[in-house]
Amino acid sequence: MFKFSGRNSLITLLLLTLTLPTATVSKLSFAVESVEPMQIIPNKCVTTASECQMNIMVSWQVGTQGKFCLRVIDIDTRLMCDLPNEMFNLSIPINSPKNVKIELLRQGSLVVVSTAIVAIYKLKKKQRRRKVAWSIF
Amino acid sequence: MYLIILYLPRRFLSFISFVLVSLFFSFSLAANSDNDIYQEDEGLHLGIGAGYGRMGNPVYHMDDIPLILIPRIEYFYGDFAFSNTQLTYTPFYGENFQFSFLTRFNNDGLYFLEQNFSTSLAAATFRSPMMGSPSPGQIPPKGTVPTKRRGDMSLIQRRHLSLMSGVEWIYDWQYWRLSASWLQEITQRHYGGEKFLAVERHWLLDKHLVVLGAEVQQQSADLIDYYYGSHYSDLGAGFSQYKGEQAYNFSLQLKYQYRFDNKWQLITDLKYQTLDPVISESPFVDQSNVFSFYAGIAWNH
Repeated sequence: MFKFSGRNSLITLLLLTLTLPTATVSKLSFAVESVEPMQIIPNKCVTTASECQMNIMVSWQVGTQGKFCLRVIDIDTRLMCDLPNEMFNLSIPINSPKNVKIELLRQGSLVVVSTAIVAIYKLKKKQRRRKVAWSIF
Repeated sequence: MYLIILYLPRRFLSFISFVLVSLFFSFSLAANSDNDIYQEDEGLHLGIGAGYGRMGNPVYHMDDIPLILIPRIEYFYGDFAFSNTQLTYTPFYGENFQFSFLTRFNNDGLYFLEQNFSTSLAAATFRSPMMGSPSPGQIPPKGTVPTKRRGDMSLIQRRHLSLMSGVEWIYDWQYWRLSASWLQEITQRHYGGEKFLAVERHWLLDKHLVVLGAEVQQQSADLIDYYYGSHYSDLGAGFSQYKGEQAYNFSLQLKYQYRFDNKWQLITDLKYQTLDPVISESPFVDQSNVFSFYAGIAWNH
């Protein structure tokens, strides 16, 4: 029924040539993680203290199965592993004088899948003064 | 009524006219008030002012104190504040008031500062009272010394700077600030004290700041006698006998500042003070008024 003639071979080869790149692209797209951006609530901290201390809620959703790690970089670096590919409102305490970086990594390869920043803004406390600044006499 | 005004002391009239003028301005100028001028961010504040000015020096044969570079070293932390040489602790405060403990140097010591560098030698070369000088036991009452007799300032007894410590109460109302303070000497030089009653009014118009103030200063007899009275060695230096008494000094002050940006600003400060006759009649004083001024550009770190 299907004769593998020379002409057919040529057509087959042509088809293969045309479909191969598609297959490769499809395979490549399969390799890219389908990741929702990591959500952090709250993602800003305004404080009058020297450091920001609060709990943040971290959520993520990665399309592929597997184990993941969360790296929290504040005054030191903490790595929490054996986390699932989907997480909703994981509570993490932070204590930092500067912006906190949070990275989601694939466990094993430690490839960074998603990154987010908790911005820290410091408000200086106002203090009373006796006289206007630059009062000479 | 007019006659009564004529008989009032001239410096008191000046004080009253200042209050009237400032009241006039307070109603005629459309100013917006912001008490931020009396607030500062917590932490260290450094800066330097460069310009020209003079702090008037009423002391005989003493030059006015030149002011070229003015440092600003201030640190605010919690209830504590350090501002150049002044230390303040404010444990009680509210929306419109503050009550502080305050430590600062007395200004009168500054008038003798230049001379201080040479008087350690003078103290060692003590001389007995000159002929004709009244003996220390014959101290005439206040205001009865007919003439001042002056001698060599480099030979008078050394007058030290004195550190004063006490309390201060400040009340803010709209654009006005009223303050009262009582300070006592803590360095055991003269055991004297000072009291201040001051009022100031400010206008903040965009980047312009004007502050107009008036102050009454009461200085105790101990303090006045230490700086302006004659000590035994002063008689030997050729100065007439003089006994200091309690004094009241009045002053008016005007500041104008223009802020170019957060770092640079124009600063000016004027102060005119009338000295109590108790001070101006001292043989160590040859002025009855003290005028001080400074104008420059300030840089804030």
